[in-house]
Amino acid sequence: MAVSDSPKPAGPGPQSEPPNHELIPNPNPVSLKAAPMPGRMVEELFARAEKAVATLQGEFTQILAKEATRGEKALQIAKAEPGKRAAQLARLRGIWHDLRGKGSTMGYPLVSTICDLGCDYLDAAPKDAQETVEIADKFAETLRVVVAKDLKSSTDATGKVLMATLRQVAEMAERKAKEAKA
Amino acid sequence: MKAYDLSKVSLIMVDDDKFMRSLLLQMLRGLGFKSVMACDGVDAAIDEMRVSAYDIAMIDWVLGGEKSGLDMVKMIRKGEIGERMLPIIMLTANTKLAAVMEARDAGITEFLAKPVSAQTVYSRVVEVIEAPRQFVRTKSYFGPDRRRRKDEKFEGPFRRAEDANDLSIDAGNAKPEPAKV
Repeated sequence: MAVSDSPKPAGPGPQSEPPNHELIPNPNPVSLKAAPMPGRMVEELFARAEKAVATLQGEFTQILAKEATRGEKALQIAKAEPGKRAAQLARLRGIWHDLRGKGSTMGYPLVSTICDLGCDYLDAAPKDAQETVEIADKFAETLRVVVAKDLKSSTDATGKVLMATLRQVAEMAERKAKEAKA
Repeated sequence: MKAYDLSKVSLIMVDDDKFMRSLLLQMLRGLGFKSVMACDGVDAAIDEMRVSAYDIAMIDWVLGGEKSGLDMVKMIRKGEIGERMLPIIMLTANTKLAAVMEARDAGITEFLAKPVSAQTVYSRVVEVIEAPRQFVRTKSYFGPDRRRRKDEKFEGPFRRAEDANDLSIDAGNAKPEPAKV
């Protein structure tokens, strides 16, 4: 593969069109600073990193409870005040978006899955419909159970039932939301 | 994957979520980074990059301020802040294909989906080290070559308008078709 720092020739002859792109070699200075460590296993690095992250476990548990409560409040307002529904559902989506990005990393894969399904649903659903609030409440309820029971795994009996039910709800709700939009 | 000593590699990380900054900081230090700067938004990162050079940027897409992580990627690739060819790892919990394509077209180097793990973070850093892509400058794009894999035996079809020019020196024994786009 030929690369050049200057515009590439566009073909023979003086009448050729000027080139519309150029390719620039990547000097990749990072590779000069990152030294391979023969004899060291990456697993050692991962274990050290995971141990460092585990020190934040307590803080995350508090954040999870606090954010789940914030989500509940947003839903309560959305239920009670139709005029604020769209704004509160957007707020709820923001909360779930943040939680889905942290849950699995902190040992709560169920939290990430529930919030991911919830975000997908809210993306597809009408933003100001009462039904959207009602279905969003099902996701919030599932999250409430996970937080209250400190459920971490989707592979134990409770987790499996919870996720299977929620996936069914999510599929049905997304289908209905798409039909409503169409 | 190879184990690398990352103690001499500096990284600037931008995430508006305080807990996420702590998490990434712990993870990166665990992986061996010694020089990590954590910023809570684009403006703070711009200020920092004006005074210090970094080897890698790790930027969250959704940021609380006026500017998003994607705006920052565009600013870097336009040469408005920092080194224009800086490796950029884009972090996001939105993994829909449209988002990946948008980030790619803004000029990111690697895409890192949240939730992250030590393995996924490390693998993106290793990708930066071991598989650097040449940069491409067109009228509408500056960034790493968006075609990751080069198949030397690829015989077309050639869909890019630029391919018509590429063929003279790049395509080897390829059998060109007229450019379609």
